[in-house]
Amino acid sequence: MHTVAPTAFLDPALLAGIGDLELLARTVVDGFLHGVHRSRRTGLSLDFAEHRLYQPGDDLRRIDWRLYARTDRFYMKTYEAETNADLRVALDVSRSMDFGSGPLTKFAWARALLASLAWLARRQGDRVGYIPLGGPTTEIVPPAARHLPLVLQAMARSVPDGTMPVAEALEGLAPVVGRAGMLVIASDCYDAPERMQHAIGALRARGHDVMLFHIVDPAERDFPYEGALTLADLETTSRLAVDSSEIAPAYRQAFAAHGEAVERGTGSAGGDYLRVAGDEPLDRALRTWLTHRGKQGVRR
Amino acid sequence: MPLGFLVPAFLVGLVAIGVPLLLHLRRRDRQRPMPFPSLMFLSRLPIRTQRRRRITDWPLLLLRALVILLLVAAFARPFLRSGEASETGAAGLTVLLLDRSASMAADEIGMSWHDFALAVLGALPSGRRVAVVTFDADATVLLAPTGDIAAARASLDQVPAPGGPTRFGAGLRAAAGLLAGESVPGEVVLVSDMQQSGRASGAPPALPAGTVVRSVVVEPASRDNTGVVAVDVEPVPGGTLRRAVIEARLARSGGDSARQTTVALLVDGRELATREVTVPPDAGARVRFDTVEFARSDARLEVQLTPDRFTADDRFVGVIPALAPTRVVLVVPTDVRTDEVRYLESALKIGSDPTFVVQRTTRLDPHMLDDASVIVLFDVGMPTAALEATLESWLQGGGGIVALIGDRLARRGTLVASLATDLGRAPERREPAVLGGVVLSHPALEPVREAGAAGFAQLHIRRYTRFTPAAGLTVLARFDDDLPALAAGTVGQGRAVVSAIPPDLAGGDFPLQPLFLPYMRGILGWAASATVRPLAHLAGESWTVPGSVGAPVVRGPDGSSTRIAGGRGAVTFRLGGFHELHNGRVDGVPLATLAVNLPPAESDLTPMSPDELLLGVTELAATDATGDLAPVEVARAREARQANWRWVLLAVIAALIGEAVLASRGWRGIAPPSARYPDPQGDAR
Repeated sequence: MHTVAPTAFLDPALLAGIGDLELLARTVVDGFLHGVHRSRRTGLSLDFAEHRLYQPGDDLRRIDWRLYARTDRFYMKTYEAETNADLRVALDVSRSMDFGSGPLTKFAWARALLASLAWLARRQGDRVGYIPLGGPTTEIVPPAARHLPLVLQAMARSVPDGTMPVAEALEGLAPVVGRAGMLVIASDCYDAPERMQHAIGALRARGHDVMLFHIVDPAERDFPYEGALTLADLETTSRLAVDSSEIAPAYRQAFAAHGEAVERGTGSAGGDYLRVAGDEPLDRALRTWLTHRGKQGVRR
Repeated sequence: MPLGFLVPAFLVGLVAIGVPLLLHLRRRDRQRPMPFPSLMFLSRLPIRTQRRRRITDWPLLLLRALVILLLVAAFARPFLRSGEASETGAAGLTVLLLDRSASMAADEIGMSWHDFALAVLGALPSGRRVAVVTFDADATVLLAPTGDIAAARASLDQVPAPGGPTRFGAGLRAAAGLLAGESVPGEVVLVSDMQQSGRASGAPPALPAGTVVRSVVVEPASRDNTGVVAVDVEPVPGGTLRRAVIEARLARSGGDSARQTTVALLVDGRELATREVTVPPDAGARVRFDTVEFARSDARLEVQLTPDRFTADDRFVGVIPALAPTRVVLVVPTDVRTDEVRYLESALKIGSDPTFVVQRTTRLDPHMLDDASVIVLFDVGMPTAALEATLESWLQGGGGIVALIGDRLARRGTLVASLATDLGRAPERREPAVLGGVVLSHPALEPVREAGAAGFAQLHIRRYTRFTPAAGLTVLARFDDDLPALAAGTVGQGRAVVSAIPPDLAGGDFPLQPLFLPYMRGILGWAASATVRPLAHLAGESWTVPGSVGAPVVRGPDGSSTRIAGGRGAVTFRLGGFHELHNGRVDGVPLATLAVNLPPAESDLTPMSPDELLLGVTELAATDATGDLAPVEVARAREARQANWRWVLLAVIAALIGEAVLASRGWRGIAPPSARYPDPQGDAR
């Protein structure tokens, strides 16, 4: 697996394709910077909220001098606080992601997707962080306003050589991620649906807004092989000799059932699920998801 | 022209044909496994395997099976039987001659003698009869000629363990005896390590005309061998205990570099000393130990080397016999006077080492010979020819006789034929005779060596008896008229002394001289020492059991017991180690312990070519009056027919080249994905 330049994922044409969409967070979270996300608390923002009487210790710069001239009393201007959300993109770096029947492996496709999301979020003023799911913890980039280059660099360095099951990686994630925010996960979800549901539920319980992209390669979905062949598991290196035409129908059925189970489990845990295939355009996937998120509105 | 195999046991390798079949089925689609994200769904699915068991590449499979088939056939040494049938006849006799000498216990390379023997039996044509003979120093017909091959195979389980020296002559003579009565020429198949030291000895083996001799050589793992070939025990005089210095002689045959080994000395099972010694290739070494003290009873001596591949000669055993008095049977004439034997009996009562116990008798009874160390014939002969024959037989078997001849025997004219002849009265002399020409270097005169020839010169012998020593006896002293005064020598395994020096005062002053005591003790001690048990015997030797043992039983080192029928007879030692003589029951303290070692020649594992053995038979047979024919040409012709394996190996090479070409065509064993989904291994990630 070769690393690529950080900006290689940020295809301007791709970003132009999704530039008319707004990434709206459904959850109001605390933040320090202005953005388009709505906050419940008043604070520093451009949208006026109300006046209140001056209290000793208030910032004198926030006194409304015009109102003082009219009323001879000190009033403080308060604004509806508009904060930036923390967006963490989590990329599954397990070996099973290193598979692709088309020009891109699942890993490369998922990385492009998450990089696009990070770029888009940064354009909206959100703070962006990165988590290699199942990879080294030293590569975790915490969310920050200026961390987009770091995020992209860390993503570029990531290679799909992990062996940790995705649910286990998600379970280990809950205690280490800090402030609640958005967590976008791109994974091929090769794990027990029940465990994934439990892991996503734990993240939701800590206030994270979880979005799961289930990355699927067309070949593993359709199993188009013919004749006798030996398959080598990318994660365990175990081998299995099969007659593909004999087992293909049952395999397709089992694969589809697994996807549905993961979707149900994610929904039950309070997360969002979207299955994306490696042969569909990236911008269409982003647009579809953003539209889907936009319809959700503020959740809390 | 039927096909036969010299070593058909290798045909077992044909089962290896199943290997490419299994590999073909198991690995045909595993040459390039296709990466797949996860098998978590597939592993849960029931997968039928019938279709996978189909053979998809018959040409390659058949070619690989052919390679194995040819390879096995080459090792089995194929040959054509057409010529052989006319030479030996299908109904002829094959004598399977199995070498069971000690050297066959060395580790083998490849097939063992048992495998070879089975292979030979398996290759016999139907209707052919077979006999099984084992040999080392002697031959034993294990199975008389029979057409039952199964019985021959079963008889191999009765083959004794290796032991004894190699004597090809014994085996060939036994085979010749079996083949002698055959109407058609037979064959001898010799399974042996072809040890050079076992070349035909003794009477030349004479095989019937047209006999084919084949040899199957059992290769030892290594020719490099070190063994203990001898042990010298040098008594240390003085003291009350028996003390001796032990020196072991080692010999090594073969090897490329010096070998470091440890030599241990054990007495009665206790390790007394060890020495490190370096033995160069094809050379010997001596290891000397400090003085060792022995008990007065039999002491078992062992010298052990660090074992090598051939262990039978890595241990030398010996028995230092207990101190025991020398039993003397003094046979005197019926008219003997007391003063005649007084000096002799007095001389034997004085001193020790040895201590003499004298039993005087006027009539020698054969039973007296059982316990006697030495018989002294005091101027007396044997009354009957039967008794004389018994005495001579005892002497030949290792007894000792001292004949003191005087006037009575001079008048009689005869003694015992194997001792002296032409007895008579020496001419009358005016002056006493003086002895001279004394061979003081002879061990019988070792006690008088200090006195020297001058001691003999002082004797004044007035009357003596003339005699002519028998063959084998050497004159050790003469009277001044050149007539022999003393003669000694070995007769068979025994020792004999004839002395014409009068042992009483009637013939001279010898009993009064200081020389008399050591002289008498010396010649009796030397003659008696023939009955002293040697330190060790050699495997293959016979040992006469003392007649005093009623029901002798010899227990070998392997625990086997041999009962001597009739109470008298000899036992032939085969295995090295300690053999125990018991009387009746094999328990308790043995009457005697005898040590047996391998002959030193057996330690040399150097082989000879089968032709050497055949040529030896040829030369010996050519001198035989029956005009028996050497089978060398027949054997060579047969060997030439067995050269087919070279052509088979060429065919193997050709088949391997074909297999390499066929197997490298590139598409075999790969199950490609469909065109729409190219192999992920080949994508341009």
